[in-house]
Amino acid sequence: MKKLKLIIVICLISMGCISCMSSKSLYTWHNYEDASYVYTKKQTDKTLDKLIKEYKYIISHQKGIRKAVPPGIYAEYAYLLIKMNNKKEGIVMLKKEVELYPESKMFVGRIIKQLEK
Amino acid sequence: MRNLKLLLSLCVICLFFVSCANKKSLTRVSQYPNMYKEKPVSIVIMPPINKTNFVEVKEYFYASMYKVLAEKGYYVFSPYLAMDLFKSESAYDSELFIKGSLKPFRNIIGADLALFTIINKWEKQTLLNKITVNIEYIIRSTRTGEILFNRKGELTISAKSSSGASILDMAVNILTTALTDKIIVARKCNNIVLQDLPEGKYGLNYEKDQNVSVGNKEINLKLN
Repeated sequence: MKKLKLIIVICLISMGCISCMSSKSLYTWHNYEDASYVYTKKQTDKTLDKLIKEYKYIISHQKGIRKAVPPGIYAEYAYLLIKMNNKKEGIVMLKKEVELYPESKMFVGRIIKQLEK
Repeated sequence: MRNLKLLLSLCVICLFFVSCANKKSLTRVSQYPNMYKEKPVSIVIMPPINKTNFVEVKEYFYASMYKVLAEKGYYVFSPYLAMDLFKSESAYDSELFIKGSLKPFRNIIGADLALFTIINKWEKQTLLNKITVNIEYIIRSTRTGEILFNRKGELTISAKSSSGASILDMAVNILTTALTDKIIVARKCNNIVLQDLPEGKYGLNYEKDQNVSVGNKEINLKLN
């Protein structure tokens, strides 16, 4: 009887493990998708502020498997900072993107060069 | 004791189904062999080709593919930056590039892949409590121009209609559908259709997912 109970428990745990095996994300996105969508729909100071907060959160709270900022996030944050006339911090963020993701060098590197002229 | 045996049998059967659910004949490597040969690292999302009457869909849908591709392990160029470039370089209409050379995207952006999407349906039927999206996804190599991945998905999500069908229930259903944004259904469609895409460099199963089974090229799903 005890053995049977143990087998059942093991079966249930195994089922749980199999179904959850691939569910963990590489990155933490928090509410990025919604904030980005709302900003795209309606560009106001309020929606921009919410999106900026999302970038800050994503950059400082990575709990995904890779424990790294998702590709494109530093660059996207930089884009908005530059639009808000914060060129200096924008360039810092662009450089972080290239450092973390060398694949971005051709595109982001060109933007950095233009901004530093 | 009998109940326990029955429960145990059920567990074993469930385990069998869970582990065998993905064992079909089509695999990622058989369907998308050149994704493994080319080993692409980065992807740029092209502005969607909109075949619906809703002009704004193009902008709204565009960024929704970003997260799912990054989670697949690819370097995804920021949608905001890429869109800005497309607009400034008169490359906003993907119709001009879907069959043409993609070399400019390789030489200017450094992208290995370009994802094209064609939005065929983007509908909300409030009275029927239904939202439907129909989207085709085409991934081409910027090096060879070859189509490496092509799938189409039609996803309909209906608010569950209650059996009682009282006026109050109907009103609740209509309200639920009205409040559900089409983008949520589109995101689900992205997740379902792009699920079969082989993993990129940053994915946990990069170069280890060749034998993962894949679904049909065209998917038609109705969810409640």
